[in-house]
Amino acid sequence: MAKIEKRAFLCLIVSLAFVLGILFYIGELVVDGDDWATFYANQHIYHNGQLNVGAIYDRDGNLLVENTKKGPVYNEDYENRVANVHAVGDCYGNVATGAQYAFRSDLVGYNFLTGTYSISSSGRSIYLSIDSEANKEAKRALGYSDGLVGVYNYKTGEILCMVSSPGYDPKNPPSPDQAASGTYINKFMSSTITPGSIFKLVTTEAALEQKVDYDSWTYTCTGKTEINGEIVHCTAAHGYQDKDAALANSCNCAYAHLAVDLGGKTLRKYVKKAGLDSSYDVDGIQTAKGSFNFPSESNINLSWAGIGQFEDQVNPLSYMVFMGAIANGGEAAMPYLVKDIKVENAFSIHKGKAVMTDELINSNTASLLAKMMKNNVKKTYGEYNYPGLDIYAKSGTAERGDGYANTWFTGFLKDEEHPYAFIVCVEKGATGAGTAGPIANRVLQSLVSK
Amino acid sequence: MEFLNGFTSGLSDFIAQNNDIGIIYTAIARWVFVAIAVFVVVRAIRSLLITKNPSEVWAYVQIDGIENYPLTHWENLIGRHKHCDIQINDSQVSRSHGTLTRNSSGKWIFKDLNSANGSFINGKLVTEPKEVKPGDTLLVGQSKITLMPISLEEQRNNMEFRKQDTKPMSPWPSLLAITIFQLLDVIQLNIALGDEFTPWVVVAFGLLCAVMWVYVLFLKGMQRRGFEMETLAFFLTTIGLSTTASANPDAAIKLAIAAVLGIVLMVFVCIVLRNLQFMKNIRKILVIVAAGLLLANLVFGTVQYGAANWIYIGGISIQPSELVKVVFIIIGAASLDELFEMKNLTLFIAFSVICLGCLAVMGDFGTAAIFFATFVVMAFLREGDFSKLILIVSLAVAGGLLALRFKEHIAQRFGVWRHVWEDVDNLGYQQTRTMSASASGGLIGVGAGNGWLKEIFAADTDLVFGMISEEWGLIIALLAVTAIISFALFSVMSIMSGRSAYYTIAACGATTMLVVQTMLNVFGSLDILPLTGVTFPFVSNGGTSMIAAWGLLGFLKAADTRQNASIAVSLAAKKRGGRVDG
Repeated sequence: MAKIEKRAFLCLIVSLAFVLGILFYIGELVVDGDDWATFYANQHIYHNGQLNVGAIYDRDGNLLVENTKKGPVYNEDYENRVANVHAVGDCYGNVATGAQYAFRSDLVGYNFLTGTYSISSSGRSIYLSIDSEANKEAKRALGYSDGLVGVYNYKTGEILCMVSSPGYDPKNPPSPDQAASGTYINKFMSSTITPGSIFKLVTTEAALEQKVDYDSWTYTCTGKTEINGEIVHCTAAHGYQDKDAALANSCNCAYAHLAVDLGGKTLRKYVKKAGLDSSYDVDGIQTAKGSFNFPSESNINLSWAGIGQFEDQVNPLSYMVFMGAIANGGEAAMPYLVKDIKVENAFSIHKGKAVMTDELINSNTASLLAKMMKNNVKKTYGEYNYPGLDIYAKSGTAERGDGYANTWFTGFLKDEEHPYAFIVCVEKGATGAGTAGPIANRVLQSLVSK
Repeated sequence: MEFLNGFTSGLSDFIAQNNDIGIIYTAIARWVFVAIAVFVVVRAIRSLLITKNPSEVWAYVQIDGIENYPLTHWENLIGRHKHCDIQINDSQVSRSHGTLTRNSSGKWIFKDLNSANGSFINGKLVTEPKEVKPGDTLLVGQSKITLMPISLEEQRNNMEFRKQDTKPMSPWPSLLAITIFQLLDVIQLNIALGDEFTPWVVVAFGLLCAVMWVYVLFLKGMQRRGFEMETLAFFLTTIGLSTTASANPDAAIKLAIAAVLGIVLMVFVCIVLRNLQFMKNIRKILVIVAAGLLLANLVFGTVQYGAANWIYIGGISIQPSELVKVVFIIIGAASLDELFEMKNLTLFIAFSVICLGCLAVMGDFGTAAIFFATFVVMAFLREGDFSKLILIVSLAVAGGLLALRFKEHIAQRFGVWRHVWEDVDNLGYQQTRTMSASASGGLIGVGAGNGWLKEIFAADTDLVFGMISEEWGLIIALLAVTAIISFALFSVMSIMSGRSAYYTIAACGATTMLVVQTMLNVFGSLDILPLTGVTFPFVSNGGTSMIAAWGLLGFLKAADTRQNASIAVSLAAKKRGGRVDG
């Protein structure tokens, strides 16, 4: 018998394996439980694959969608639905970053302790930071053009406007194979696009800190220049340029030489510092990461990369945050979308709040750069085009490689009551200031007039 | 029945008219269920673990007139090896020299294990098992062993000591708690199921409740105590009845009847185990019956969902492999003497091969895995040889892989393992839904009958852990698992004072069967292991499975050596052994 006693530990090992397996399961449940619970087969919260609990409102309490047992009930206004579709999403999860899909676990009210159970089984109400009327204005301003508009409050982090085009009516989503290219992508958060001249702000930032004689630096533009035997063109012969004029005129020739002077390593460092090659977490949504390639040899590709061409790909949201940091003395609030979550549409259980980024730009450099951006508006874009706005900006026209250009307009307002950073991109536009600038103006006017 | 019908439809109408009352009832009852479940399970486990399973001293042996050894087991190995119960440092003594065994009539029998120098009782060479009486001299090597009975006074002291040590919980609070649980559960099911609710659900719960009380009252009447394991099994069966009623209201009554049959089987196993000699004698018959059942299954079996493990007899479907589980333990266990007999091991191996072979042909991979794990544990308890064990396991893994090649549905299940979310509407269908429903339940559940997983195929059998998690919540689901694991802990504890190797090997085998089966069920449905489609003992909707689970519990009860705890030891036999029961 004494022999057998010792051998019984094998029974205990089997039980131990069971216990370890159970602990593993509990671990999985804690980590992935919200994904499991919000699986479309879960009939507590889905009906025919459509979420049937929860409601989404904009910052002013305008209903964007309410999920009912009979299906989702959207805002009655067609324009409102189309303008807000990338923020809200649809009940099929076509837009992966849409609130209906991305925040489904909050809509359902899932948590580890109570699962998806609630006595009234009505789910939660999510109040987005979005101003749905501003989105409508942005959509109108974009008209039939494809592109994106994003505005956020760089002091609080609230994303106020977020429109991606082409949009669609979430009531009748086009089938994925018939939808126009880009319909189901929120370009503001999930795309990366060639930035063109708006990237010159980063090159300028690097020069302000690294180029000793930058204040007295000058360049004479003849309309083209040669870098290692290859030609860089400007839109015109800009003539005599100092640092402010080179930025205001967006002189490619000047920046081609600046980029080579600074070197690939330096530019890479500033891109990294600005957070342009990393992803932001917007209430759990991971934004796309920008990507850049700065060759280490001083060649034409390095010049183009410093001008925002070559292989530069920037994520619009991350660039907008960088604008916020310039405005705010080096750091900006992290952008967020969920302003409030309410139980029974009465008791608030979550409030969005400001969390600051790391230092994206040195504060001295930021104020110098801001001055130059103001100069851009004064000298090139025209302050009269932005009546009443204390606007700082940079335009851009990025060659797409298909004969068209993406036109950009980005910057910020220095206004205690309206500390907004913005970014606008119009695909296949004419010029940054000419095409994207007016759109930025309309949206900002609409937001500021509130 | 008509009264019941009137009552339940009256209740249903009342609830239909007062929908809010139903919702409020569920909201509150969920917490009450959890509280009761925690009370019942924690109380039983606490009692199992803190009451000692004290050794009984059956006699003393004196070696060379100097050392006194208490004999705390019925079976004792005498030899030079350090793991012997009576260890003798004498180079003339063989490593395993002989066995000294107490039979059920209280006599001590010595058997020589072909020792090099032989053994002598009162000078006579022992050639076959022979009784050793108190005062006889047993000579092994150069050492003299004298058997001494314990004195009457010592017996009384021992008894008092044991009684103080062994204070198992009183069964009444737990029974009452389970009864309240069942009552609230029936009301909850009536609310949640609405029109689907049938009076038969009430009958099923009533039957289980009645059997529970009758069983405990009857045994109490026979002055037995120690009902922890049954309490846990009654609790598990209650949960099983509820998940079955939720998914399949008409099947609840069948399951309740199966539970009653299972309890009868458990008592039967205990009573048969009182007489080990009888058990040994019927072994060969059992092997033939069991093998016949399995072969009949092969010939007449019906293929259901990939595995041909069902036969229909007169409209009743049974799973022979479930009943064979009980036989498997009987065949696999062995007393100390038998551990030294080759033919006994041969019989066990041959029977295992038949079982595994039949299950492989049927394509019942899950049950084959349960049998195999049990075989490994029992073989190890018998032989204690790790290298052999590794050899067996590697052979089985190779065989299992071969089986995978031939059985497509098994290979598919392995293929999707840990990838179920990539194939949610096909091979991962059941697992993803189980996980989703489990997460939905949170800690407290959505209320019995309120789940949706029950609409998925095999929800109340293979996926029942998901149903418990969804409708009863994670806490009760974990309590169910804890109950099964506590059986294993108890089996191992009972070994320390086991009377015969037969009981302890049987208890460890039975517990391994229950634990491994529960593991495969729970982890299979949650994609932690491949889904093999086995039942959760005492819980899953399956008559034969329910009967077998209770039958296996009989082996655990038999190993319970606490004073008066086990019906496997008749009080009369104890008296014959010279004991006075208080």
